[in-house]
Amino acid sequence: MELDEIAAIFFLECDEGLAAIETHLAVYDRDDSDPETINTIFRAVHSIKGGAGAFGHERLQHFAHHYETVLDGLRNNKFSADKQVRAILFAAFDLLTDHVLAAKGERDVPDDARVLEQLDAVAEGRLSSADDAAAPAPAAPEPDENGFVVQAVDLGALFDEPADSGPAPWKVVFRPEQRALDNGQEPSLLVAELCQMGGKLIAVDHESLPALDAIAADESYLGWTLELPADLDRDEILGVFDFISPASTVIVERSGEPAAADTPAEADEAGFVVTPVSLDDFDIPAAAPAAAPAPELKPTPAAPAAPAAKAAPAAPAAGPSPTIRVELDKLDRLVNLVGELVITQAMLAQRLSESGIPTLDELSDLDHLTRELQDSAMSIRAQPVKSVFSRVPRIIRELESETGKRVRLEVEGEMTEVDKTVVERIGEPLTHMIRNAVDHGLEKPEDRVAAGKNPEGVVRLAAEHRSGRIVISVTDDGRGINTAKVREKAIERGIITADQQLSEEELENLIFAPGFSTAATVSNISGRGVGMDVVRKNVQALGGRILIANRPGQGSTFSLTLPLTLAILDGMIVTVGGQTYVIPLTHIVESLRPQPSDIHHLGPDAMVLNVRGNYLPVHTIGRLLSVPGARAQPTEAVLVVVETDAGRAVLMVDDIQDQRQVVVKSLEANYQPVAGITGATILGDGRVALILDVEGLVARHNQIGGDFEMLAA
Amino acid sequence: MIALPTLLDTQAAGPLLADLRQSFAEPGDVRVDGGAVERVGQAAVQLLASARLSAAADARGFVIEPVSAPLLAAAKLLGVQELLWPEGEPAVVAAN
Repeated sequence: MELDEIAAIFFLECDEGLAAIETHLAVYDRDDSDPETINTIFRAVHSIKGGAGAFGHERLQHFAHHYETVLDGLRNNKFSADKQVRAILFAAFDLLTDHVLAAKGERDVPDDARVLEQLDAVAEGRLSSADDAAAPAPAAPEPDENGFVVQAVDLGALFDEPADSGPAPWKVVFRPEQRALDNGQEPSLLVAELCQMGGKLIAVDHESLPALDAIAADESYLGWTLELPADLDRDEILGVFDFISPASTVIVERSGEPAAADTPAEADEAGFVVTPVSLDDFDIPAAAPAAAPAPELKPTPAAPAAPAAKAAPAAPAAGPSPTIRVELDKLDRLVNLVGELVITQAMLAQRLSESGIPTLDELSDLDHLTRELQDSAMSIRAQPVKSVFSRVPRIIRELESETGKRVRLEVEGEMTEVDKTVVERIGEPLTHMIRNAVDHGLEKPEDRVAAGKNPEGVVRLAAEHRSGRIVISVTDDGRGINTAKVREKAIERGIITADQQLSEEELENLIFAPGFSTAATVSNISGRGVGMDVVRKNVQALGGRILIANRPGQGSTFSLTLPLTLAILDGMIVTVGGQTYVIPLTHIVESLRPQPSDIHHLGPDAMVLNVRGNYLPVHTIGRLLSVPGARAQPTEAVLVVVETDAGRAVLMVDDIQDQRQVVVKSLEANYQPVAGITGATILGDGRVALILDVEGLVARHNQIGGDFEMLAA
Repeated sequence: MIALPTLLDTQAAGPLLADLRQSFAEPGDVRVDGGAVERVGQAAVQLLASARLSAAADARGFVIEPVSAPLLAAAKLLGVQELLWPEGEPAVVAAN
């Protein structure tokens, strides 16, 4: 495996680790009674630190080390986690995320000086209300100004203490294998990390170092013996070696009284070890390779309990069902092939039906299996929205500090699954919605108190499946949308005219208009008048819709309704002048054949349809797309009422053929973008049908034909 | 005189080995300038240690001077400081 691939796995595992830390920090913040919560956080940070060390990301490693020191103190009850400490834990998590991004090359290295100082203050008992200030955590090492982290550790207190009852310090023998310097690996960083943990080098073995005429520049010849503080966990020490080749020698054992040994090492938790180090050899010095050095290393005199117990860790820990990583390209190919299969199956069915062959059982079985295969293939790409939701707590924390508002985030349905493409593209709209909810929705604490509310505002983020779509809602318990103010602003901005009559719903929807902003002052959070416009554009691009539920004085809810996948679409198959088109079902409200009295002509080309008292503009698809032979008389055609962000409208087509799921093929990828068309599909008879871009068509027609709603009103 | 580069990682160890062998092929003491080193890895530290041992075996002089703080720190970290400077810890110069 190439180094790049290993590094990619490391970063994937960093992401998983960060997600685990975030989840468990939230749990810990609510309830710190379960020691496993802080242990899980510790292990995740520790694994990130270990990987960072192995790959030479020293700033990340350095920061993770300080973070880990505090977490270690918490799990060992060296100090307690009051509100201030918890805030520091969250701030440190945010910085850890930034450090990982910096290591990936996706941002600059963050300035971590302030948080590092806070972490050190916690670790040294200067901040926390520790019960036992006399037992400070090991002094955090100072960073070397050159980046090569060398210990400046004060071990005096740990080692000089007459430990007449505590466990003996650890002895660690580390001898990297000969090829340990391959691919830019640097075992010396692991030695540095051991030193950072309070380790002291007690011997170096250079016996096998060849003379200059025989040495290879890129092979490893040295080995080291270190002594590490007794209060470290064995797992913690072994964690340093998570990313080294199993061929290297690593021996970790107590050098003193075995009776006081720590609890035996537990089986390594799943997830973070790419090349698991076999634990079997560690406690049996005799079994170590002959090259194992350290004549001063004394075998543990009598440790009957420990080795016996430690033989067990070879058994894998029970965990979630096993998973494998698959390249996305392979998955996409599979999904694409399944799409082709669905089309071919439909073509076969149609051909048989045209040939007069009666319905075959096998054919309906094939149909059933094809659908199931398609569902399964799509489900492989499905991901929980958690990966997007997990960004939200940080955004909330930043907004709290920027606005001075107090916010409690409630999250529900984060395991709701949706296609990966959708997950990837809802991040930005969601960020804007959250910012909008906090910045515009929630009031300042004093205003909330004055309104008889809890000073702490609530933002509720929820996801659920509803009728084959995913609905993501952001609800705040703030002041709600003040439609009078919205109207005033829209007139001021020239978005509407002063005499224009708009319903409450239409007024609420004005906040999605480009250039609209009700913020009294433009802040760096929102208020630039682009946020909600961007939200709507992105959501529309995903084939989704956005709805507002406003409760003046009590808050508002913004709901995104999105398709579960972008590869399949429920559509109505219609014909216009001999051509077949697909109208996405999500837009369709109803379809009807009008009576002549329902149609009102407004000039030679424009007309409106009276739908139960509402006058809706009629868009003739044949004319908009220049299709020859399309029916011109609405009474001979079918009118489809559609819902769009520009309001309801009517599309005029010749006939409705069918309603079915179609496999979407990108026009951009296979041909070129076409105005008014979002994509194409292949029908059962092998013909290509274009999928109408309802939003685009209605918006375009409104521009060409003028505002029908104004005329109708 | 071999002037060590600023970045002395495993990649830079190959050229360093070639330089050291070249110097050892010529008569006289071997002198290494380590004043510019800002980052150094195990590979290069090993080579310097090997050169030191080879020089001792040949009964010839081997001097690393000046020494930057990172070079000394790496030698200490890997436990070869006394091997490289048996006469005592060298004074360090600030790396440029």
